Amino acid sequence: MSSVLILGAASDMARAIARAYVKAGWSVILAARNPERLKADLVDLQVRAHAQARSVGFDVLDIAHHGAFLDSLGELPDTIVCVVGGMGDQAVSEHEVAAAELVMRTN
Amino acid sequence: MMLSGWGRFPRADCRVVAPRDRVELRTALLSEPSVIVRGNGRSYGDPAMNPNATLTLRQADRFKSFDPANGLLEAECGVLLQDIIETFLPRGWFIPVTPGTKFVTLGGMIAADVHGKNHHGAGSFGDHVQSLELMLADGRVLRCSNSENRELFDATRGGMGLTGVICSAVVRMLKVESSYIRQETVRTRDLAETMEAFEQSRSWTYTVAWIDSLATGRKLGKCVLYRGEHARKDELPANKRGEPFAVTRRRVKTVPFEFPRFVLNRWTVSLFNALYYAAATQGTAIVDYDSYFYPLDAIAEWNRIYGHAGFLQYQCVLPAAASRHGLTEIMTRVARSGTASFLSVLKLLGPGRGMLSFPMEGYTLALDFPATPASLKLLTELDAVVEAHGGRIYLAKDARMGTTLLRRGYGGLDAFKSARHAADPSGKFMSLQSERLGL
Repeated sequence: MSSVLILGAASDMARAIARAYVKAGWSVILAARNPERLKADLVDLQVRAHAQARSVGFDVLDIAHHGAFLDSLGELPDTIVCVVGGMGDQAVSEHEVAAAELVMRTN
Repeated sequence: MMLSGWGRFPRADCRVVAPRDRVELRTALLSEPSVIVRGNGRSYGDPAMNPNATLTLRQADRFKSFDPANGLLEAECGVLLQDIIETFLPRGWFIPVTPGTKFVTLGGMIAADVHGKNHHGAGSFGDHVQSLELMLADGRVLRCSNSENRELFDATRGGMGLTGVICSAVVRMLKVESSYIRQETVRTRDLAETMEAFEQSRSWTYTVAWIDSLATGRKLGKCVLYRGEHARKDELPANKRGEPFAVTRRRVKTVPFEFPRFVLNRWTVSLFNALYYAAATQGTAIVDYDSYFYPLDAIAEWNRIYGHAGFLQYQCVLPAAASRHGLTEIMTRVARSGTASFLSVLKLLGPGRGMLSFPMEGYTLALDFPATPASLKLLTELDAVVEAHGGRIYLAKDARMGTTLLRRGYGGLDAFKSARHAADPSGKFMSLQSERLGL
C-alpha cells in the first residue's frame, strides 16, 4: 500500500487531499501542530474508505526537530504533500520585521 | 456579501460567519444577537439569509460512523448529499429520501424536511433521521430523537433552522441491489387520467409527473408520469451486471450567462413542452440513479436561465379531497396568465407529520416563474386558491407568501412556536423568511 504524508493537515485543502488519497487506496499520515484537532478527520477517513490513517505532531517552524520528526515516522512515505501556509497581516508585516519574518519562514 | 437563495430572488447583503469547530460555533451563538445557518444555499427564497450573521457550516462535512449491519450513518451537518451517495452507493446503500438535487447538505435536508418521489410510501427525510445533535441558542448541545427531547426533534425536522444548529445526525440508509432505477413511463391526456395514473401507481416506490403547464381545455393536466423501482441486480442488462453499483460523474454543463428575459416565454416553453411530451416514449427502461433523480444537476447554475431578476418557485400541496378541483383552478389560471412555467412537476404525497413540515396527504404541484411583477400578482391569486382548498406552501421554496396563508396552511404552527420558544426564548435564530412570516 502506498502512503502519503500531508503537512499542514488541519486546513480545508489538506482535508480534500487526504480524501482523494484514501479513495485511491493510499494510507495517510496527517501532520499538524495540534494533532488532537485531527481526530474527527481520522474517523472520517476511516468511515469513507476503511483507510489506514494516523495523525502526528509537526511544527514547520521548529526546524531543529524536523530530523527527529522524520525518524519517528518509521517507514518513510511514498509522497509528501505540503500545504502549510500563513498569510499573516500584510499591513502589520509592512511595519514589523518579526511579523514579516514569521510569514516568510512559514511559507 | 450579497446572498440569495437558489431562485436568486430576493438578494440581501449578509455578513457571513464561518465557525471552524463547535467551540467557535458556540462563541458565535453567544456573541451574535441573531443568526441563521445556511447549508449549500439550495432553498429557493430567503430562509437561509440573515443580514446580521449567516453562519456557514459547509466545512463541518465529516462522516462520524457507519454500521453496515443496520445502515445507520452518522455525519456532520455540512456533508453534501452528493458525498453521501458517492461514498455509500458503491457499498450498496442509498439515501432513503432524496430531493431533486444532490447539492444539498444533510443539515439542510433535515431543516427543510425534504421529500422525494417516494413520499407516498417512505415519508419525508425527517422520518429516516434516527437522532440529531442540536446546539441551542445558549450553546448547549442536546440529543434529540423520538425518545429524547421529542418535541424539539419534531420541531427541528422541517423547522427551517429556527430551533437551533443541527450539528450532526444519524440517518437510516436504504439497502439497494444496484445504482440503477427500473423506470416506467406513462403518458396521459388530461388531469383525470393523470390522477388515475398516480392512484394506480401507489405500489411503486417512486412516482412523479411532468405537467405541460400551457395545456388548456380538454388537455389541461396532461402529463408524462415516471414511476420507478431500485433495479435488482438480475434486472440489469448483462453489460452492467458486473458492476451493479457503478457511480459515474456526468460531465456537467454550465449555463454560461444569465439568459435575457425573452429566451423563456410562452412560445419557447410551449415548443419545449411539445417536444418533451412527444419524445417521452412509453415503456420500461433501466436508467442510472443520477439521470433519474438529479436531471438538473447536469446543468450547473441552471437557475441563470431566468435572467438577472431571478425566479420564483411555487410549490403547494392540496388535501387529497380538494386536489382535483384546486389543481384545475391553479392550472387554468397559470395557463390563462400566459406566464410560462418551465418546470411543472406534480406528485402525490402521503400523510405528513406535524409542526412546520410541508407534506400532507394530497397532490403537490411545483411551478416556476420569472421574478416579475406579473408573476408576483399571479402567485397572490394562486395563494387564494391554495388557501380556499386548505392547502399550504413549501417553506423551502417560498420567497413571498404572507402570514395568513402560513397560519391557515400549517395547523402545527402554534405547536412549533411553543417548542421554538422553549428552546430559544430570545428568538436568536432568525432569517429573512422567519421575520417576514413572523415565525
